[in-house]
Amino acid sequence: MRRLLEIALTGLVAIQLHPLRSLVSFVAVLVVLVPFLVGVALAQGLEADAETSARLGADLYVKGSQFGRPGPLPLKAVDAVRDIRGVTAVVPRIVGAVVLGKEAVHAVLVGLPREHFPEWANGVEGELPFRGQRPGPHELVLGTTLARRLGLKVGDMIPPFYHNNRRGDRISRVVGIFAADAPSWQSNLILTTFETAAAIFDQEKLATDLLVWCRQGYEDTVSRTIARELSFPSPVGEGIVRLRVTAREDLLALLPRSLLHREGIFTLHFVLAFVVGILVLLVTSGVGLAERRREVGILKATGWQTDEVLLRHLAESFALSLSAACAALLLAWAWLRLFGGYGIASFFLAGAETSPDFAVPFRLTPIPALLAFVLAFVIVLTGTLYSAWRAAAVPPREAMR
Amino acid sequence: MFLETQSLCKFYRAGTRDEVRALDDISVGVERGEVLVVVGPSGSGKTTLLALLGALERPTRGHIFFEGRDLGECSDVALARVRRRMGFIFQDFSLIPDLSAGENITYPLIPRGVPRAERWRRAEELLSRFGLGGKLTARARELSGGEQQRVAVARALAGEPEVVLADEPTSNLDPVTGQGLLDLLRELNAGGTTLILSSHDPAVISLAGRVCELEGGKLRARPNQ
Repeated sequence: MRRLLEIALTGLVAIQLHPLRSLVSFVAVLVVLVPFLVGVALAQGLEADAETSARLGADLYVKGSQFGRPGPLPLKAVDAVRDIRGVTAVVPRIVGAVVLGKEAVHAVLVGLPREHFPEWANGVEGELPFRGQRPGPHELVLGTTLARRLGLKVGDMIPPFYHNNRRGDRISRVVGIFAADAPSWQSNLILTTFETAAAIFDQEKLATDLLVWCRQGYEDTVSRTIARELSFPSPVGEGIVRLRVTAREDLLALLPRSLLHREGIFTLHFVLAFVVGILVLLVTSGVGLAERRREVGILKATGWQTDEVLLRHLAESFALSLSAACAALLLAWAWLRLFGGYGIASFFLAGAETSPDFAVPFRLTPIPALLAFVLAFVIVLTGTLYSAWRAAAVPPREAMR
Repeated sequence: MFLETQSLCKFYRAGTRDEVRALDDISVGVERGEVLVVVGPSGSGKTTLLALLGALERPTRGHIFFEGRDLGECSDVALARVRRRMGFIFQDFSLIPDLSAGENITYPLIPRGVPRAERWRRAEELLSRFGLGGKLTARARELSGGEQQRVAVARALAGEPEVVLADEPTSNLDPVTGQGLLDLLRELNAGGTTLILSSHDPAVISLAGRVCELEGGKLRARPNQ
């Protein structure tokens, strides 16, 4: 055992004996691993964020449905749902798409009753919109990225951005901008009161969906009752609107899908990068190949066995990959924490720019860390052990030539 | 015979038009404790014969027997064990340039299971004996040719080998150091170590119990045999 340990220690010495060779392997590992770790950490952070949000949200999400497609539902539905046994609260919501500015920036406008604004919305620069609606400009809170892209500050006015025939177009005023540490999905969001959203979209007495909270254990019953027993005359004339219910658990099950899709694309790119990384390392390791061959030949000529030579290189690869994996973790953390996932966050966050101006959610968990080490080990092993094995497998004099 | 060859052949690029017959049908043997000196002009196959006897290479044809065991049929592990009983002094020294002189000497002792303190004691002792007492931690690449030669000799002897194979051992040494090495080899041989040397140096040849002469890869009989 002591003998094997001493052989392994010579592998650690080899790292500093050949600084250029070690550096090439180290850098090759970093180039492959850091983007991988950043991507995985972002995907996991987003998933965790979305899950937390869904868990803290409503028990049921109710939408209108016509011809099997989602549509708005009348506000009468609020009272009808509230009357169902087991329901504790019903909040109507308007979610709509708008386009702002000359640059035609796409954003999502959300209208909620003021008393049901999410807790994280309290941390805004400026203030929240007035309860209900008062005369004058519409009062809006803007997401950080949106405000920056449009060059808007608190107090700035926004020209009408949604045409309203009946009441005439109205300008809006930025009353608040979300803080940079608010959840990532606020970046392209416009938050306002339910009444203001209804006025902007000119859809009085309608909501795009209802958020429903139930007493514990009543979720299924309430969900079934809404889907089977409630229907309303269509707000656009003939026909009826049925209600479609999505439970929180269904939402949680759906959440990872889009993330996994992005993660899948990312993984595909990563696999390509990984293969290229190994090929590059194989080529670059040719820099020290003659030196390594000769060294292996000398060791074998002086009595080392092939397995002992390989153990030496295994120890060298292990130490190199461990240190490279640790450095990769540190760099990935710095990339995400200090540089906000510069360049890579936009891949995972819709609407985020190259340099996001909000705190990107990320999670560096033990599994990717362990995977990082395994990948680093594979990369370094491919670069070093293969050439060592080739040198060790031939007679010493041949390797020494 | 302690170490012997039978109809030994070593061809490079065998079977091609560029085939080089480095050794052709060599049968030679050495008894335990004997001194065999291989002589011959450059390119006659001396280095190749020593490499084959030292289990550093496999023959194209023929046999090498070490204590009656055919090295051609030995596994890689068995060959490594044979090499541990030998000390090889290479003509080009073959030191690991980035290791210190001490490490170059002690590294071959690690797989042999020699404890660390003992390894370094031997290295210090041998280097002192060759006038390199202060060079224990000097990198091999920083040493002069003569110093490297002496480190290479120290490395070969550190494992207390039963047989020492030396390829032109005095070629890079000044006369005084060269004489010191010959004295040491004589002393080793007196202690029972078998010596197989290749050289043009008459001083080395004078050590020989037997001389074998090679020419063009073939063995030539010597008048004193």
